[in-house]
Amino acid sequence: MINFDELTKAVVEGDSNASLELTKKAMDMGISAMEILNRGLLPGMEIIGEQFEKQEIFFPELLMAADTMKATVALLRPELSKSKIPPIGKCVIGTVEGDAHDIGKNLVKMMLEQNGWEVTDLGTDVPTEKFCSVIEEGNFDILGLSALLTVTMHVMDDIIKALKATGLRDKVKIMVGGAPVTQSFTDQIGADAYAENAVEAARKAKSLVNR
Amino acid sequence: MSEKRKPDKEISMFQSHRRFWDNSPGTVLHTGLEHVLDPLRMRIYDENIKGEFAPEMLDLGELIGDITRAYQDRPLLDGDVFQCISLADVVPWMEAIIGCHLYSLGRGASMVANPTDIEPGDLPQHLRYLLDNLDENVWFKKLSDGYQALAEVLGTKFPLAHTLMRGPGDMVGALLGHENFIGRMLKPADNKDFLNDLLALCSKIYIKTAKMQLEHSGKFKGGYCNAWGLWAPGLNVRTQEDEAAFVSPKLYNEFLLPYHVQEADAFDYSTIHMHSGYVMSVYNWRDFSKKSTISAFEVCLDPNGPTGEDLMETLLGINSEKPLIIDVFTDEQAKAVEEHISDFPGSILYNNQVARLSFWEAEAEHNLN
Repeated sequence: MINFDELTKAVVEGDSNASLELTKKAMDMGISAMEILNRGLLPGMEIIGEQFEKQEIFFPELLMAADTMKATVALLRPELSKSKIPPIGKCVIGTVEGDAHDIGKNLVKMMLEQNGWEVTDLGTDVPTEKFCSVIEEGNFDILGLSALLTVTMHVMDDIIKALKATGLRDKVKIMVGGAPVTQSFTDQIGADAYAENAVEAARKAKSLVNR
Repeated sequence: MSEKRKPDKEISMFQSHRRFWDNSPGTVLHTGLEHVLDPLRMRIYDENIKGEFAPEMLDLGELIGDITRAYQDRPLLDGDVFQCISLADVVPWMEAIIGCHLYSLGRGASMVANPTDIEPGDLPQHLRYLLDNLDENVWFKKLSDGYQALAEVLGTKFPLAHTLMRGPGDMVGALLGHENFIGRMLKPADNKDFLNDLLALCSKIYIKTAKMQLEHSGKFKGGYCNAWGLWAPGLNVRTQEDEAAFVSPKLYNEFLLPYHVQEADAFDYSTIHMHSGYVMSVYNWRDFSKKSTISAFEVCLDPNGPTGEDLMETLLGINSEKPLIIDVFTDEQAKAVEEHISDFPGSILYNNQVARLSFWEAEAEHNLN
C-alpha cells in the first residue's frame, strides 16, 4: 500500500528526493500516474497555495514545492501522455517589452503547469508584435502579461490595443500581474483578470475558462 | 521668496533634518516635485538603447554634460529636502562591479544585471581579489572618475549623494541568478558557508564603494545628503535590498540581516529600503532594529501589496522606534498616509511618487508642445 499523505507532505516540504522516491515506489506497485498525481501531488500544491495566501509560507517555499512538483511530474509524464488527457487550457505568457524581470512569471508558469495547463513561455522583453503574432497563429485560451516596472506596465495597454486593432482581442482572455499592477489598472486597460500572485493566477485562470 | 529669506529656509532645513534623524515627534517632511530624473535613464528611453551595456558605452563626459543641463535651472531646495545629484542610478553599479553583465532595456528606461560567467566555485576567490583591487575594476573606476568629475563641475552648487546601491542580497542574487540563490538558501547544509562567504565579501565591497563616493563628493555644509536629499551631519548611506522581498523572515534573519547590520554600522547614518508587496521584508524591521544602528527605514508601498490602510499599523509601529521614509505610488496609499499623518509618533519623510509622476508628465507634455 502506498501512503499518499507522505507524497503530499514531500511536495509541501519541497523534498524532491522523497517525492521522487515515493513516486517510483508507487509506479513499481502498478499505481497509475493519474492516481499518483491526483491523490498525492496535487493535494500538496493545494496546501501550499493555501499556506502562501495565508502568509504561513513565503516565496522560497512556494518555489521549492513547485520545483518538487515539476521534477516528479516529469517522471510521470510518459505515462500521463499515453492517457491523452487534454490540458485544462493553453496559456501563453511573457514579460512585456522593456522589462526583464521573470521570477514572478516563472512561478506563475510553474503553478499553471502543475494545475494542468499547457504553458508557452515567450520569455522576457517580448515585443508587442510578438505577442500579437503568437495569438494570431496559436490557439490559446489565456494570454498572461507580466511587468515589474511602472514604466513598462503601460505596455500592457499597448498590447491590448494592438490586439483590438487587429481583431484579435476576443480570441483570448488576458490576465495581468506584477508589482506595479493593480485591479484598478487592470480595469482601466480592459484586461480580463488581475492576479496578485502565482497561486491566485492559477485559480483565476481556471475561472476565466470556466473549467 | 526674497534673497534675504533664503538662508533662513536653508538653516531651517538643516534643523528639520536633524529632527528627522532624531525621530522627533511631529516632524513631517515632504519631498518636492522637482527631484530630477537620471539623465542617463532618460537617454536610454529616448534613444531606445537596448542590449548588452558595456562600460565603454558609458561616456562620462556626455553624462556630466547631461546632468549639468538637467540641473541648470533647478532650485537647491525641493520641498523639505535638498535637490541632490547622484550618478546614473539606472546603472546597477554594484552588480557591474562584481562581474555581472548589464542589459539595457530601452523603452523600459532601466537596466538589469544578468549572472556572471564565472563558475560558482570560483566566485569567493574572484570577490576576494576584487575587494583588494577595486581600483583596477573598470566599473569601480568609472564610478570613481564620475564622482570626481561631478564634484568638480557641480559640487559647489548641489550636494552629491552616492548612486543607487544595492545590498549584498541583491548582489549575490545577481551573481548566481535569483532563483538559484533562493534555492541554495533553502538547502543550508550544502550552501550555508558558501553563501555567507559571498555575502560577506559583497558587503565589504559595498562599504568600500560607498565610502569612495562619499570621499569624492565631499561634505555639504558639514554633512552628506542621501538620494532623497536628506542631510545628515555624518556619512550617510541608503541601501536598496530588493532581494529581501523574495525571502521569508527566517531566511532574511539567517542570511541577509547580519550583513545589513554590518553595513549600517559602517556609517554614521543609514537607511534601508524595503518593500511592502512582499510582507516579510517589511515585517522584519523589529529584528533589524534590535540588532543594529540603522538610522531610518524606507518603506516602498508596492501597488500590488497590502493597501495603505492595511499597512498603517506596521508603519506606525516602525515609526515608534525609527524615522521613516514612506514612498507612495497610488491614490489610495496617498490618501491613507495623509489621513493618518498626525498619527505618526516619530519623524517621517513623505515621498508622494503619484504627485511627482504627474508633475513630470505635465512638464514632458509642455516641452513637447
